[in-house]
Amino acid sequence: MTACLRSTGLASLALALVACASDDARSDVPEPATDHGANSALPSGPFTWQLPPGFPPPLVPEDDPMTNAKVELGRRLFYDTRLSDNGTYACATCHRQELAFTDARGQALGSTGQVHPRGSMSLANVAYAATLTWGHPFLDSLERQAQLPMFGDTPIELGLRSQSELEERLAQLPQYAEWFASAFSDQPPGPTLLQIEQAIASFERSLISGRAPFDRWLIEGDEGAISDAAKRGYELFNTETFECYHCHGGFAFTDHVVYADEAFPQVLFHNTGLYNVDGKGAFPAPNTGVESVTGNPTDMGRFKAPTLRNIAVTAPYMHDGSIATLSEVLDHYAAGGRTIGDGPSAGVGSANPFKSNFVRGFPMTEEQRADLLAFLDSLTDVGFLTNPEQSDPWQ
Amino acid sequence: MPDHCVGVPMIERRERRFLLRLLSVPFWVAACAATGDPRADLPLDAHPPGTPEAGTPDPAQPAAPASSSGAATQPVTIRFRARVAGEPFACGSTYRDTAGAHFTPADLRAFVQDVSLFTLDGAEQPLALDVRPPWQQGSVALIDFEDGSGACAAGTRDVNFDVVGTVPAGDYRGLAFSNGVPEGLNHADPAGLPPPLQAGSMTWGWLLGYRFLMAEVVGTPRADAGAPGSALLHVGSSACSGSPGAGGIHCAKANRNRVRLDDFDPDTDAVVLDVEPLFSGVDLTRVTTCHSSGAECAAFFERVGLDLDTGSATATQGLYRVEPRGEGAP
Repeated sequence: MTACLRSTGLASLALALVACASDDARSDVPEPATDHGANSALPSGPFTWQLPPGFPPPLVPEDDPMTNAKVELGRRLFYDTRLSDNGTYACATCHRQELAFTDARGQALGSTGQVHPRGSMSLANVAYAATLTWGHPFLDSLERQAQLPMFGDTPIELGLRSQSELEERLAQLPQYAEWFASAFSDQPPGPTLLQIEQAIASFERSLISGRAPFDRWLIEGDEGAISDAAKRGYELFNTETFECYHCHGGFAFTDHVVYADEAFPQVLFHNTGLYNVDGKGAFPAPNTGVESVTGNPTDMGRFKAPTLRNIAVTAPYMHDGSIATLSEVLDHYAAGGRTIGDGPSAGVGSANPFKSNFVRGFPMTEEQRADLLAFLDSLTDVGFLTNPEQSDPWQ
Repeated sequence: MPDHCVGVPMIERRERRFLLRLLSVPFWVAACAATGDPRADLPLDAHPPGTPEAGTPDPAQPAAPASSSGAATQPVTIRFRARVAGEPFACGSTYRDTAGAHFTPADLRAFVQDVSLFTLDGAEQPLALDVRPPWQQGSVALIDFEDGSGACAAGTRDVNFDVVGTVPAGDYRGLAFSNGVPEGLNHADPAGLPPPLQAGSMTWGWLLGYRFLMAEVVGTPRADAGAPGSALLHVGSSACSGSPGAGGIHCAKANRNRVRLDDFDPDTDAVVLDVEPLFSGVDLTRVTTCHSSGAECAAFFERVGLDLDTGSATATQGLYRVEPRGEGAP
């Protein structure tokens, strides 16, 4: 085991002295505190948002206020493989920082090898997500959402069997006992599932991405921050011809946002004509979108518009990873829906009766394609992908 | 007395955690416990059949008169048993269906709510459930037949076959219950609830609710080397909309059955849950799944006693029957 000092900026100086252990030694068995890197005391004090220009204050639950201690505890939990039943998976396994907290898979792979029908979503700016996952109309709590990958078994993700099993497992780890006591000093001794999910949610809320080259150009006026092609692409993005901005507008580049003091939170979902397997609009089961929750036939194929921030590093695309590249995504929208010629998913998506009115198709020259791709590239926030304060504390 | 002590060490540990948890659960729960109400309960909208519908949840007004009137009560243990075509149900055992396919259980658990006995003149008397961690918390009980062995690997070692409560002293014949979690609890955050409602295999995260009944079997390797199939049934309230906050979540299909076993004698009989009729006719060479919607649920729902289209309980069901406990039988 070697101590690994981070080459970091001032902000993470406190973490820079942390020693790290390799992953392979981790197991269910409690280990001496010195075996793990993240064994420093938790930072104290209220959390201070360092929001990019143009970003409103996120909506934070009254019963889970942001604190430095909870954010750091949540980070340690997020990256800890002991949160999976077989000790092989952490939240971070499917949400990798360098990929804007996605995993490069079209369909996520669980800790026991089961394939999820959908892909891991980016966690960039998830604090602003009006609802969570790809197409859920009322799952609006990051705290509660954490229970889905923990305990879900269709498919198995982290593979935990029960709340008490998780609580007892963490209670046996002296480090965590100390950290939970520190982060939740006003509560009876934990860890409880509520505390675990509050800490993870606090860390997730801290994952703010808004300092891409595009922002340096648009907000700070740095003309050299992005290429002329990217600037042209941004103009095309905002035209009524291409219609991109209707669903991917605003600071988060999605219409599915909520923030503090917002009078009218947007909870929108769209069918983009990706499938039409029966000629009546059906999407392949079980990926029927909001319909799978509400049972409402008109909700068929409706999913939320994901953020475009860091979109260049989150391939493949769509809820099921069925489009490999951003260029092909543009083809899909240019065609006003996807046509699949054969196989079980065959159908003319552009004729989907539930398709969004904004997906009408458009002519696109190769230069326009290149400009749009350059614009999308300019949304990659390298500082976010490499922020040492949000990296694996166990490494 | 029936043996309630299966898995004693685990239960004791959980009881301690449960007591600790009371310190951090919402005020009304703590208040219930502090006043010594033996039915320390959680608020719920659902009311046992035969009682007036309560407009506002009020833990101080138990639905059953047994514990509030001071009248003599008697303990009741409803004993459940699981069978597969009459054979004892056991994870790890292999069974053969009528088509000759071999299969083994992968799960069998069910929540039970609104349990009633019937007096000899036919009056329905709600059973006041004991607080019995981790299996009962006052308005709902969990029956758990899987022990984590064999193909039930996603389960837990502990099992529970009993629903325990009290009724006013008297003679009873006939039983009614539903598989479900009361509406007032079904969408609450499991992390803040006592067992058996805590987060785990019975929580249905994607609908922010619970699985009321979970039954799964998997085919075992076939002589012709074809890939074995499986059958999975998860019953819970579906077709949901609303918000966990103001207004609440409402499910258009409640999917709570109503089981009525008229001949049941609580002193001498057991309730048998036989999974064979549930999976009878299901082709175990392919994968069949029912998550409470879709065509593959049709046969399952009929046997569970549910109308797939409306989510309402039907008058008949084919899942449960009555059987004598027998002398010395478990």
